[in-house]
Parts: sequence; structure tokens; C-alpha cells
Amino acid sequence: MADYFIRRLLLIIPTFIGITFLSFTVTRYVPGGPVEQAILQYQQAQGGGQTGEGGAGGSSGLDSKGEISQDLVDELKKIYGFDKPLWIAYPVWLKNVLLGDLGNSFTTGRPVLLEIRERIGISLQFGISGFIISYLVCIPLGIWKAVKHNSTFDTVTSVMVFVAYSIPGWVAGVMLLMLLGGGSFGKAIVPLGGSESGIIEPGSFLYRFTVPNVRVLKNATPEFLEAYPEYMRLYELDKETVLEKPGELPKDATSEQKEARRKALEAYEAFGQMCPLVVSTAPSHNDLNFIGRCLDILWHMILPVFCYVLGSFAGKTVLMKNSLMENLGQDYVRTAFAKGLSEKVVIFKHAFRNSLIPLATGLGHALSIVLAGSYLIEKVFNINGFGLLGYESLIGRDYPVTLGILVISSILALIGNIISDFLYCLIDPRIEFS
Amino acid sequence: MSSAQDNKSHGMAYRLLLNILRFVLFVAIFTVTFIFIDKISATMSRGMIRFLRIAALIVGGVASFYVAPIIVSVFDAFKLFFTTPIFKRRWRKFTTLKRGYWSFIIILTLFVISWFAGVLINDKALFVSYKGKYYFPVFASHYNGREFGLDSYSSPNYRVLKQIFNARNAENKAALEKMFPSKSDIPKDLSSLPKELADYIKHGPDKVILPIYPFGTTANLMEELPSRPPHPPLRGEASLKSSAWIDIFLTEDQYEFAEGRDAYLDKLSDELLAKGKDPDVEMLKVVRKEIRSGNIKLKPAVKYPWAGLYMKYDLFVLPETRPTDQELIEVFKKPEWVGYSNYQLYKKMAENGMLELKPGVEPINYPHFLGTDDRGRDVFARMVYGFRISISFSLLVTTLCYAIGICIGAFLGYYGGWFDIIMQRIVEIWSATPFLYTVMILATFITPNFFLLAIILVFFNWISMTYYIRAEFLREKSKDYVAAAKAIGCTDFEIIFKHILPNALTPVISFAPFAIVGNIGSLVSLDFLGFGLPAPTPSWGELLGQGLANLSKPWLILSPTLAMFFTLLLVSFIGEAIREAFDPKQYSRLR
Repeated sequence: MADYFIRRLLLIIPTFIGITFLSFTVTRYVPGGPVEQAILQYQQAQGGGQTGEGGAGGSSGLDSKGEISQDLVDELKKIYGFDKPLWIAYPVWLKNVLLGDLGNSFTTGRPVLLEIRERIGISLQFGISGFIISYLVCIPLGIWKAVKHNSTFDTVTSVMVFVAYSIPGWVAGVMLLMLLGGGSFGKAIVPLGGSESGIIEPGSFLYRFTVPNVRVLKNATPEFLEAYPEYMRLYELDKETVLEKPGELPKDATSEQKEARRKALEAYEAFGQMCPLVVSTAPSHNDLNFIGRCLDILWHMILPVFCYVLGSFAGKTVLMKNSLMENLGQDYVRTAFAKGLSEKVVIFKHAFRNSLIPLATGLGHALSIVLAGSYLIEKVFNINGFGLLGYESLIGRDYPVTLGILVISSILALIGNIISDFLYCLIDPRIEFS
Repeated sequence: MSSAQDNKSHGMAYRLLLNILRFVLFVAIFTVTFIFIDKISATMSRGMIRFLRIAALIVGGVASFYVAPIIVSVFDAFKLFFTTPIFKRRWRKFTTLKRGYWSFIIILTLFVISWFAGVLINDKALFVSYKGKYYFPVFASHYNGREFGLDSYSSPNYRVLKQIFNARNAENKAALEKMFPSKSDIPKDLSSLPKELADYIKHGPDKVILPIYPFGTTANLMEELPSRPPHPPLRGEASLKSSAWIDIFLTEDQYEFAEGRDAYLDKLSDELLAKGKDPDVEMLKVVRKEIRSGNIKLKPAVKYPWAGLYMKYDLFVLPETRPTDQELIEVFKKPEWVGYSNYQLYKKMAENGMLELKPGVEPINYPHFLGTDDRGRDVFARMVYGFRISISFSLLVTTLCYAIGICIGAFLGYYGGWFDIIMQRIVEIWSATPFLYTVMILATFITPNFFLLAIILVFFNWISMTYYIRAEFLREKSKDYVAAAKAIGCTDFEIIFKHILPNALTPVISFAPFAIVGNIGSLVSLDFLGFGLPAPTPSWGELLGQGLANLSKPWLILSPTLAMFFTLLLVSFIGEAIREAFDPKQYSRLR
């Protein structure tokens, strides 16, 4: 058995290389990549500038015909890592991946791994709670349906199962947003998306949990916190305004004001540019106390999690029911009944344990399914997670992120396969792999 | 596996058919690969492209030569499967399962009807007779307006064309009756009459016959409907009256307020605040109630939004003399109209209901069952065409997946060994790639059309089929009848496709409806994300995307959701019944 799993683990290597090589090749040979987009942008920018100058080329990187010079193209290719042929570039990329370096994002310039790490938590928060709830709902329901086979309860829940099967989770999500989000009917019962509240209106039930007058600026540097309030005080700026870059000096500014503005500008250059939404007194998620934050997060999780559950509800319930039904027809159940055990004991101590096998093996794929199935739900509910990151990277042709996500999700899928098989062996010792 | 020789026992006709199939297949592979290479060739060197093309030719040639007999054999296996008595028994069982059987009938009927959607739901006329010539615009690619006496080269709006013809016919009829009070007075020689009238007498009235539901999937209806799209799903004025969904705070002024809209709303807000109610929530309710009860009236201009369109084709009776400035100010109370040109003035008057339509012309009041989408296109038409596309697409994908999956799964299960191990690796690569994501990657590079998208989906979906078939083959190949077939000297090819395959089809057939459900779901998700069929194609997913952006327009969300829901529900009823009929699991239990 150990041999089998070691072999399986080793076989991950060629499979992984296969997957990544395919995608790597695709990203290199298809048109519309980052180099072409950069060239296009460059041409547009230069085209605009050139009309004034009367077509002076040379130094700007355009040759006399107004086309981009080869040097510039080569340089662009080098920037985006397209200067080497595939058979050199791929091993280099693979080596970096193995060393844990997925490259930098083309759009934000930050390491891909960092981007993914930031986003994956949110996806897991939604995905895993959905996963756990779906098991908590489907297993009891499946058991009950099997025990009450052909009863009214069974028929009614079968209808529910069919309904759940016929409406994909994310489609139900769009519909529920329309029904409960307050756009079409009545008052908003659920938020329209996101994972936490941006602004908490005075009418919202969360408003009573706000902490008054406490502004915690996450990530803000001390210089910034010092310079900005001073600047606001001297310019008599309203506390409610969202601060942007310090404005122009009025003519009659005092030297004190000038100094404050200079400091504020420095602080802004150092910190504010990265995080331009700075101070506003309309309370947001960060102004809530602990209970308020928990409630806010839960409030935002209701619909997305419901959609996750809906997506796997039909499959899991029917699987549980059928597997329990099958076990209830087995000889060992008859024996158990024959020796006088009560129905409860027979079902829960004998049949139920055996019928969990097919469901338990699904646990191996939990992680990859949670991540793979999240594009649509994250898009619908505008959750800034792993799936949305993948979608955005595809729209923006951000290849390092695209490939990074592919690497992570395929590794999870491959390991998931093995974990599934392993769980299968663990739960059911009769199974022999070879 | 050299199949060409194995089939010597068959007749001439068979070989001819086989070779025709080979040729067709070759052309198909050749065309698809060339289009594909063309699409991705932008960054490649010339040599690379030439190499790829030659490779495509060779691979296509060899593949079609060997694949054609396999297709014929699989087809034979299915024929055998569907003609066995056991299948007939299962089919009888299926027909007794009422829910599944009726779902099957309903889906089949709807699908067949949807193929005639072109003559039932279309903005092109079924038939036009103009000056003695007959036209069938539904079946033609394009007629320009000039052919029907209009000014434009673009395709005419047939709904308006009908009104133009009506007006002209009524005019000619009146003129004729005036000139010749009884029919016998009409002279044989028409040359003395004006040309219009002569044509009318010679050819009879011009005619436009529209389809039952005269709206297409791509035409913009903004000229005919009030305010901005999306329009709610009711007829003309009624839709505005029951404006539960019209957000009067955002759209332009459609209602008459005595003291102006903003002043009215301010006053209302103050009143509500005084009563201790939240104006944000209550104000819209009060306004809607007022509109429904008729206390707030629609502006006349909103009642006749199509006046501009009718003015263009001269369908209003214009007054003989322009109203004087004095009249405009004192009678009509519209001082701002004084400086207007004649055309502008008459258009304004028409919009305000001050002009009569010409005799024979009907006002536009067509029903839009499901409203319009955010580009002013009829939602019902798009839903119906979307149904046709969804079902055909998933049928195509499922069929292709089955064809490929069955062949490869059969070889895997039958031969096993190294072939199996290597293929299992490939299968694992395939199944470990995140499916939707990879399709999205591909779809960003090549704008897919219907067939290309189908091929991309097939590329990723055929895998699941091989599992079923492989498992069946592993089980079947150890049975006695296979040994018997081997003993009488059947080739592997014959054993696989003639003997085992018909016996291995049960699980894949009962899986088919669920595969169809899955493929419809994939198409809708891809369209929703914007990686599906190209833009003007009617699609449910695209409409859902619009709905998400317009959450206050429930018809944009409810129509595709319910359409999808009922389609998938019916298909899964069929699936359940097929499984029950084909693969009955008898649960017996003691208690």
C-alpha cells in the first residue's frame, strides 16, 4: 500500500509538468499578450506626442516610418520575460516556481505569491463554511430520506433536491440578490456583496456596534498620522471629507500652514499614494467593536454560503440517501435486525458508518473544489477572493498571476486525488490499491 | 487495428459511404485546424506556421482515414443497442414513468418548435408584396429599404413598413373611390392615371405579413419605446402606469408634477419626516401609489414615444397651416415651441398627441412579454433563441464528448497495459487542470464562435466519459462471449465495437441527460463571465450578467433564471426516468 502511494506521489511530478507546460506554452504563443499591449499603448502615447513635434523618431524608440524599433521590442520582451525561447524560459520558470517564486504581477508589480496569499483567505472563509454547512445539512437529510423512503417527507425533499439540482448556486445567488438586496422589492435584507461593510448607514442594525471617535488607520505610518491631523486642523478641513492629495496653497497662507502642508505632502507621498482613501468619519467595518465585526462578516456570508451549499446540496443528499439505502439492503443489516437490535442502533451503528464511505472520500477534493468553484460566486457577490483574482488576471492578461493560480489549483487537485484515495483506504480496509 | 481491411465482408455501398465519411472528416479537421492556426498565428514565424499547417494536413489525413471506420462502428453499436429487445423493454418502462416521459415530450416539442423560431419570432417580415413583386425577407439574407420605396440602404423596420403600406393603401383606395365611384368605371388603359394609382389598381394593395411575434434578437427598440432601456414587461402605457420598477428618481422626467418634480419630492420627504417615517424607503412607495391611482399623470410625450419614428415616414396627418405663434403661446401654452422649424414643431405636436395618425395606420402597441434588455432588445425573443442555442450547443458537445470518450475509453479498457498507464497520466493531467479556468484562458485568446467554443469544451469534457466506458470494458472483457468471439477469430476491432460496446453502453446512455445539464450550465457560466459566444448572440448567461448589473430590473434576472431552471428541471426529470428504466436499483429492506 505504501508503495502505491509513494508511486502516486512521484507521478505528481510529470503530471504537474504536463499541466504547467501546456499553459505556459499557451500564454507564450497566443496573440494579445502583454508585449503587444505595451507596444500598442506606447504607439498610442507616442502617436499623440508626435503630431506636435512633426514626426521626430530616433530617440523616442520609433524609427522613421513611425513603427516601433526592434530594440524597443526586444527591451519590452525582456521586461516581460519573453526574450528567451520556450525551451529555456520554461525550465527557468519551473525552477523559480519550485523555489517558491511565482514572479511579479504585471499589473500591480507585487509578488504573485503575496497577491494569492492575501486573497485565498477570503475564499477559504466562504468556501469552507459552505462546505461544512453542506455536510451538516445533507447528511442528516440523506439519512432521514433513506429511513422514510417513499413517505411524503421523502417526496417533498426529493422535489427540493430536483430544484437545487436545476439551479446552479451562482444563478440562485443573482436571483436572491435581486429579491433580498432591496433593488426591486422592499428594503435591503442582505448586503449587495463584498465581504465586509464599506459604509455603515445610521439606519443599519450594525450602527449600534460602532465605536465612536476611534479611528484606527491600519498600516499608516506614524509620520502620516502626525502630519495629517495637523494639516486638517490648520486648514480647517471638515473631518468628514475623504482626504486626498493636499491641495494648492491659498495666497495668504501662514508659514505654519505652509509647513503643515509640506509635511502632509511628504507623508502623502510616502504613504497616502498607496492607500489614498484615508480619513473619513463615516463608520466602516473597521469602526465596529468585536461583536459588530462578527455580525458584519456573518451578514455578508449568508447569501454566498447559501449558494455554495446549494451547489452541492443535491449531489450530496442523494449520494447519502442511496448509499444508506444500499447498506440497509445488505445481509449484515438483516443479521443485526435478526439478533434483535433496535432500528436506531442498526441504522446509526451499523449501516450509517458504512454508508459514509463515498461521502468521506470527497473530503480529499474539498480544498480544490472550494477554490475551483469560486469564480462565479465570487464574481456575483463581488468577493475579493482567489476566484475573482483569477478572473481579473485573465481579463488583464496578467500571465504571472494566471499561471500562479493555475499552479496552486492544479497542485491542490493532484494532492486532493491522492488524499481521496488515501481516505478511501483508511475508512475501508477492504480496498486494495496496487 | 487496421480497420480498412477488416471490412472486406461489407458491400460496395458500405465502402463508398466509409470513404465519403473519411473525406468529410478530413475536410472538417483540415478547416478547423487551419482556422485555429490562422487565429493564433500572429506571433509565430512563417516557418512555424508552415510547419503547423503541414502537420495539421498529415494528422488530419491519417486521423480521418483511421477514425472514419471507428465512427461507423460506434454508430453500428448504437444502432444495435437501440434495436435489441432489451432496449425496447426499457423504453416501454420509460414511457410508463409519467414525469420523465412527459418531460421528454415537452423538451422535444419545444426544441423542435424552437427550430422554427425564425418564422414565429423575427423582426423580418414573412412576406412582402410591393408593386406586384413578392419578397420573403425571413429567408433572404438582406433586403435594403430602397427595394420597398424607402430612402435607406439599411434593412427596413418591417413593423413600420407595414404601417407605411397601410397608409399608402388607404390613401390610394380613397383616391380611387373619389375618382371612380363604382368599380366598373375604372378604365382598362391605366396610362392616363398617376403612377401610384395605376400601380395600386394593377397590383392590388401592398402587403407586409409579420411573424406572430415581430421582434428579433438584435434589433434595438429604443425608437419605439419610452425613456431608456431596459423596459419593463408590459404593453405600452400600462407598463409605465404600473411602474413598480421604474425608478423615477433616476430616469428622465416622465410624469407631470404640478410644482415640478424636485419641489414635489422635497415636500413629500418633509411630510414623511414629520410623520416619523424614513423618506428613503417610503417616498418611492408613495410616489408609485400616486402614479397607479392616476394622481400623477404621464407626460403626453411619453405616451407617444414612437412619434419621431412615424414622423420620419410621414405617417401623421399634418395640419394644413402652421399654428401661429399666438396660438402656440395662448392655446397650447408652449412658448418654447415658437422658434421651432416646421418639422420640429410637428414632431413635438405628434409626441404630445395633438396630431392624428393617417387613416389605416395603427399606433405601436406591441406586447413585450418579458420587456427589453439594457440595449433595448426584446428579451422574449432572446430567451427563445437562447433556448435553441443552449440545447443545440449542449447536444453537440455531449455527442462529440461521447464519440471521443467512448472510442478512447474502449481502447483503454480493452488493451490496458502500457497504453492504459500512459493514457491514465494524460487523463490525470486533463482532469487536474481547473476546467472552467482553462476554458477561460483559451477563450481570451481566440474569440470563440459556436463551433469553436463547442470544440474547446469537448477538449476538456471527454475525459469523464472514458472513465465510464473503461470501467465497463474492464468488466465485460472477461466474460465468456468475448472469449467465444476471440475463439472464432474475430479481430480486436470487431470485438471492441461489435461485441463489447453494445453491452457497455447502458451507463453512458443513462448519464447523457446529466451531461446535457452540465453543458448547459457551462455555457451559461461562460457567457455570464464574458468568455462565451460572441456579443450579439442571444444567450441566457449574458442576460444574467446584465441582470446582476441592473438589480432593480427583475425581469432581466427572472427570465433567464426561470428559463434555465425549467429547462434543467425537465432534463433532469428525463435523466431520472432513464436511469430508473435502464438501471433499476431495487432496494429491499427488512424492518
